[in-house]
Amino acid sequence: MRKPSTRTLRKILLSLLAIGGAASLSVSGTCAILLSEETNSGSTVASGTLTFGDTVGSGTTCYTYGGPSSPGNVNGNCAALLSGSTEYYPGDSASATVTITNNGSLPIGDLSVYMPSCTVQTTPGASGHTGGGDPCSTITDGLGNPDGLLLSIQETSPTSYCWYPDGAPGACSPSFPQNDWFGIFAQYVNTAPTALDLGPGPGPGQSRTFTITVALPANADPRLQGEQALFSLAWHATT
Amino acid sequence: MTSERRVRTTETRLVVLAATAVVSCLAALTASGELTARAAAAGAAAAAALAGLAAAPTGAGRPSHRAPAGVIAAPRELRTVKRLLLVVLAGGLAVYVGAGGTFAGFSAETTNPGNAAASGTLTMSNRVNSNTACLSINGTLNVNPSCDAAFALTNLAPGVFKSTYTATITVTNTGSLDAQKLWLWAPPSSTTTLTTGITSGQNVTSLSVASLPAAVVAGQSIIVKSGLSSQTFAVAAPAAKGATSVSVAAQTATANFPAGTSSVTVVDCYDQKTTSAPPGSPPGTTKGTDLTFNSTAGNPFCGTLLLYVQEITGESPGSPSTQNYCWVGATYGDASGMCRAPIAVTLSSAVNGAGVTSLPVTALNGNVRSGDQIVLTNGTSQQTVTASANAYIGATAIPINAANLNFPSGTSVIDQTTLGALNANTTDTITNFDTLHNGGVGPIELAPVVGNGTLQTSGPTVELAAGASRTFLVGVYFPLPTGINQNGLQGLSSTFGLTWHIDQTG
Repeated sequence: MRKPSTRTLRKILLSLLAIGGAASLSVSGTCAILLSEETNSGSTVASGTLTFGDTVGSGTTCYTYGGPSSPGNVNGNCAALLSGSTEYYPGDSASATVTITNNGSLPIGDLSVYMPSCTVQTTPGASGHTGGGDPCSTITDGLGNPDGLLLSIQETSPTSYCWYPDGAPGACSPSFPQNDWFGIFAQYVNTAPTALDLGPGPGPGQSRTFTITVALPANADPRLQGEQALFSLAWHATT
Repeated sequence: MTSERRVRTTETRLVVLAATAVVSCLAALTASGELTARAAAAGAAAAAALAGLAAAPTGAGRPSHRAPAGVIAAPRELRTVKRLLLVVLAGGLAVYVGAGGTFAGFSAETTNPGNAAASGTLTMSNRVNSNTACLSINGTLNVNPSCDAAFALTNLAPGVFKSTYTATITVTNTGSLDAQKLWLWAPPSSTTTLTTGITSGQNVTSLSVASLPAAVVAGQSIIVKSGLSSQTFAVAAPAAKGATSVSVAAQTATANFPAGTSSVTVVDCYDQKTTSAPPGSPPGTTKGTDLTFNSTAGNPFCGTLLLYVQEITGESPGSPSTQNYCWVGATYGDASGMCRAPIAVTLSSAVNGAGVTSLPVTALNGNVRSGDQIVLTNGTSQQTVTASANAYIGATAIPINAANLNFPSGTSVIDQTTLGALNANTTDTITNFDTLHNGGVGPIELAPVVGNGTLQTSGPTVELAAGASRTFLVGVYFPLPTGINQNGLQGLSSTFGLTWHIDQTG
């Protein structure tokens, strides 16, 4: 049987051993895993903008992004090209200039135009004297000759090019001047996929100017009397 | 055993224990530098003396006082031992403090002085293109979160790829130790936990977290996850790194997210509207903030932009790498090691004639796959040829099936097949990279590449040896999916990062 003092001394000595052991282990314990790390932070990738303005004559410019937020970048409330109050007689014509200005940061890869709507209405004040014809469609006389409304789309700046109906450089001079060019356009060029391709441009900060002319031919079909075409032209741009 | 023998045995044990304890402590203290070798020697001498004492008879030459039967050991003998111990220890102390000559007349001694044990270093550098290398040691605790951005791209259009849409990042082990592990992930490097639980059906307008691992801006996404349930919240107001509360756009909780065990991950990439037109734009050019149809909610641009990381270690113009490996992005699912990385190069010399079988091009900034349709465009002239073999980043020629060509130097050359494939890709987006590979989950271990598309599979693995470098081409592409109106992505800027991390051991 050990004396209490002996046990106490042994405990103390064992404690010293334990401390010594712990001190030794702590040396090797400093070898923690090393690491190193770097971050390439703050990379930015920004998209450009594709927007343009539509100016009729010298009027106020209408911008694509001025429309509702959905679907976005579509503005259906730009100025009318022609006044609905003007009455035309056979042989009369009316023109308007439209300037398309690219105010986006991206170049317009392709500009096109189409007629999303065309409806016939009775000319104001002509009630009871309408011919019943449809200026939004092709129409022919008794001999089968077209005698409907005419339409031309002439680019005047920066280059002169007749986009419709000729599709050729220079001033418009259709080979078949009496064709129902308006009705054909209204019937066949009325959606974005079937739009008339006007080629690339303008680039950012640049403009293209077009003259739109609608004419009632001298041999206008009598059925067009008192009829009015209410139509819209849409200008469409893609990258 | 007699009572006397028990006492002697006890004394012997005491002395041996004392000697052992002294040696052990001295060894420990010497190892930790707190005792000199000389002091240790002195102590050892004392210990030796103690040991000798233990071996000798305790009461030699003296009559021992026997304790009566049943009485515990004689205290006088123990006191004697204690006195002797003190004497020996005093002798040892005397040796240490200057009585070195008190030993015998002859002595011998050797010393191995100046032993040193120095730790190595594990540091790294990170260089974007030919920029100045960024050093990990310039950050806090060898973590540098502010290396150069890989990109500062403006005015991207869908479907258009330019040579500037790539960057090379070279990661170098600048330390003295090998790194067994090299990792890539989306920052930040850590997640946090919810400190206030969320109950399913609860209207959540703020998140209480332990410590936000990174600063967040409005619109940035935060994913709260518990088990298989997760929900993404949009930050409503900026919060600093370390913040314990984040305002989020109101949402109804779709699951229970308990405090303490629900992880909170900041999704790195976020969108903002551009606040200025690209440099060089004409006055009046629109910017993101001019538009109303380009919401940043949900970070749609981050979710559309494609990201790829192609290893090209060893590549130089005209000499493609033989260690190509696609770590991030669309692959071909074969052993080529190619990412679907688009190209934007030009003819380096004219091609003119019949039977042309190779296109001389400026060093490829993407990969061409055998069978890809390669489009040459010069003004209004355009012709498509077919690649007849793979061509890797850095190659200066594209093998093609024989074709009759007549194009001048400088003609644009693109890989229409690659662009077409990427235009339909909704998987390899920056957002997906961020959510699948971040500081909390799915870090990408960049195992050693031993050949095109081939990783080391045996032997000891060192993923970034001391002094070694690995080079990666990082690219982004804005896809042009068919029939989808992308106007909502106009004028947006995505901000994101890439984190490279090495560990000494696995």
